[in-house]
Amino acid sequence: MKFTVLRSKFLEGLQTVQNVVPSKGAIQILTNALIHVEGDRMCITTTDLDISARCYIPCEGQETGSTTLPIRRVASIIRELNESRIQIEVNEDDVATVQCGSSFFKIIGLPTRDFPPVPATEGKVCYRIDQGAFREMLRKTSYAASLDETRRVLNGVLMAFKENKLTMVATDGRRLALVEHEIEFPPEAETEMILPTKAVGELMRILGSDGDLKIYAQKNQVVFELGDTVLSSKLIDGVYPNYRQVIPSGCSERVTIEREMLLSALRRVSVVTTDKSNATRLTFSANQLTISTQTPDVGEGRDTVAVKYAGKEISIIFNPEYVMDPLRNIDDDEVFFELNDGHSPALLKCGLPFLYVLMPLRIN
Amino acid sequence: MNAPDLWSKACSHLKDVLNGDVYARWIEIIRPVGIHDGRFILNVDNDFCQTWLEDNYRSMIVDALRASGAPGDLTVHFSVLVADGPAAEPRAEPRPPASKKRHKATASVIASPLNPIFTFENFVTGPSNSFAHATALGVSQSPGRAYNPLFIYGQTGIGKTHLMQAVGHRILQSPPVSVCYVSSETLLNEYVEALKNRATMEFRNRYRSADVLLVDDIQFLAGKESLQEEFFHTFNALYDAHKQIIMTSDLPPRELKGLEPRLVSRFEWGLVTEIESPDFETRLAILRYKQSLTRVRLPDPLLTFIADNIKSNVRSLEGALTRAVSFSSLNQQQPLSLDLLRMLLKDQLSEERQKDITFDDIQRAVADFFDLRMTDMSSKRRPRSLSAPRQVAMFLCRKLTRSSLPEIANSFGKTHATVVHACKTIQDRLQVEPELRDSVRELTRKLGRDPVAFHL
Repeated sequence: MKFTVLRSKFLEGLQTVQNVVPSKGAIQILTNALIHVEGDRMCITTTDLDISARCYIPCEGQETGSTTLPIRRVASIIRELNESRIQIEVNEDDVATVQCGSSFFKIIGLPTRDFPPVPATEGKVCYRIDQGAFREMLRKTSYAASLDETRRVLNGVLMAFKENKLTMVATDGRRLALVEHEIEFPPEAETEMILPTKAVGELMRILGSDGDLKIYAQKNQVVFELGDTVLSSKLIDGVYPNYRQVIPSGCSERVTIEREMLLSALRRVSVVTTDKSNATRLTFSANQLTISTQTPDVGEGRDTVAVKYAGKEISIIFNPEYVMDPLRNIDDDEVFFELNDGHSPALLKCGLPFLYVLMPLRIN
Repeated sequence: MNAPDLWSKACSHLKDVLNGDVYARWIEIIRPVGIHDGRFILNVDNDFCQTWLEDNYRSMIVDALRASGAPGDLTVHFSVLVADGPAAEPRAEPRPPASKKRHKATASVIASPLNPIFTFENFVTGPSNSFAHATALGVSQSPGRAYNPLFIYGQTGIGKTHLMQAVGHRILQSPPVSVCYVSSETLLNEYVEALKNRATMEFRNRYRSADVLLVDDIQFLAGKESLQEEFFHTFNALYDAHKQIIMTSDLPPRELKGLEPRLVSRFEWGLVTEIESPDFETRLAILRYKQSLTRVRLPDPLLTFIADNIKSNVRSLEGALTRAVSFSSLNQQQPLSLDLLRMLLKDQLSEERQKDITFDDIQRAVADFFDLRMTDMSSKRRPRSLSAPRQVAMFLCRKLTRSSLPEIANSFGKTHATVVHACKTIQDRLQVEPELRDSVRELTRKLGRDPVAFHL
């Protein structure tokens, strides 16, 4: 195999797929990337057996072939090179010779036959959605996914393709984030899948702000195709809980708040909270929200925010991080808090079809 | 108050505090089952309801129950009822079909292999272990449902591991299941190794994929905080999935030092059972059984001699028998006599004898404990500050030695009637005075005896 490639293109390709590679792998071949050159195109593939990433970049292929090379080392070398054209030749023993200007490297690879097979971009159903919209949906929900490994089905984001909508949901048992987006697909293609958190992170990294995203649903796995990049992931096996049950049907009070003001006030007050003691009281009174917290051995903090509110006074206790999480990930200027009383779940909404259920804390 | 009444009262409390929508969604879906060992068991339909209720409404429900007249130490436990089983025993119904899907096709043992000798068939039961044996059998018949977790404790070498592995063997007969047997020490080594290799996920998955987890000598977890943390999560994961957990230890959970309270409370969740030191008849039965596995037949007086003199544990009992048996099979022409046997076992016998407690030991320990002089033990003066400890000492002499009443009376310079009275007084006071019970137990331990074995 022999090819010439532009440094910037090669580096971009390597960086797209590099994150999938396990940082400390028990299986050596997984720390390598599969590189295949054919004609004027090169394909770089990485996998950790659960998630695989693949991207295509242009190159001048002089000799067709494939090999696997340690991706982190190759990426470090390419990053340090100072000429734009790189010439790479790989012999039958999978030893790669890299030549670029005055620099010369020999890198030892592994044979391609040991590299695990990667799912193909096909499936009985293909959903199409705008990349930017999909990324925004992930951004608005993924932070609420559970990190508790004992609750496996909650360790990811639910993607439900139902009733001409894509609904994304994440919850950890104390809060729940939900976002919807209308897309078109045939009614027989209705399905649900739970995308693991690592795949969500990878997707958010590689998704662009425009362009088409194709989602191929396969058995136990899903393939995302975006332009020259393909990411496939195993799905979490299990049934996602009935999240509708968590969403309160109606709330008696509604408060309109400026998002950034609320976020910065919470951020200030939460400075005096600790991991163990983070209960923060939000008191909604006529056109005013008071945020206060007290931490033994640390101190206390209080801040007020002007709001639009005319209902009864409600005092409710939250983990401030759980209030700030959605505020950081939506872009609206105004958000709406919907409440019943101090110990019923609260709802946070904004202009979009976005909904966030937040359970109050209880202090004895 | 019975459980349904208590629950309906608590519900009316909750109805007042909670908004109607929340009440209908989360409280009305709960089916009260009953109260078991200070835990109010509430059934819900699925894991998620369980998760959400545990995270968000548990404290509210506990408060409502207390306000309705429940005892202050009542806790609430949510369980997921999979099929319609007998309502009183939420965990006694058959395994849910859903979890069966994930089983491997064949039965398998992860971690250390089970010892083929440790089966129920080879387990000799007697009054000292019949309860533990019955619970273990119960667990092997409906793993994860009958008693979960099962905690077996007792002194060393009396059959804890045997019983635990017997459950493992029995469960393996009805595949497909995976049984994981591991000692705490192995667990520690593997955890350290996993930390070194940054392969903690692998470590976790190995134990969380088991259908039955057997952990031997759990007391070695004491003081190993991060391993306890890890074990805590594994425990929860398995427990929530209705997988059977069995543990052994040399002390009951509450007396294990250096163990986090949340672990202790979890260990006490299911059933804590003790194996006591075997009595004479059981020891003899064990010897007869072990002998039947060899080709040698020892005369009955010899077996009786061994059973009578080696009391501390089954392991030394077996050791003594092995010695006797191997001697007689090696020296076919010289029949084993009682004198020869005594010679043969002299090390073990002297070891056993050293453990005999003298009156002097007891008097000294009691005097130390209550800050008295040794002479006070046998003095004629009888203010309450002296007589009460003296009675304790007499009581312990009666309990911990095999001496007659007059012998005990002699050592205290009293008559046997005084000793009888002292024993009766202390026995009565033990029933009503927990502090005295604690003192007596501590004294017993100081004297190198297990209080539980003497029913103290």
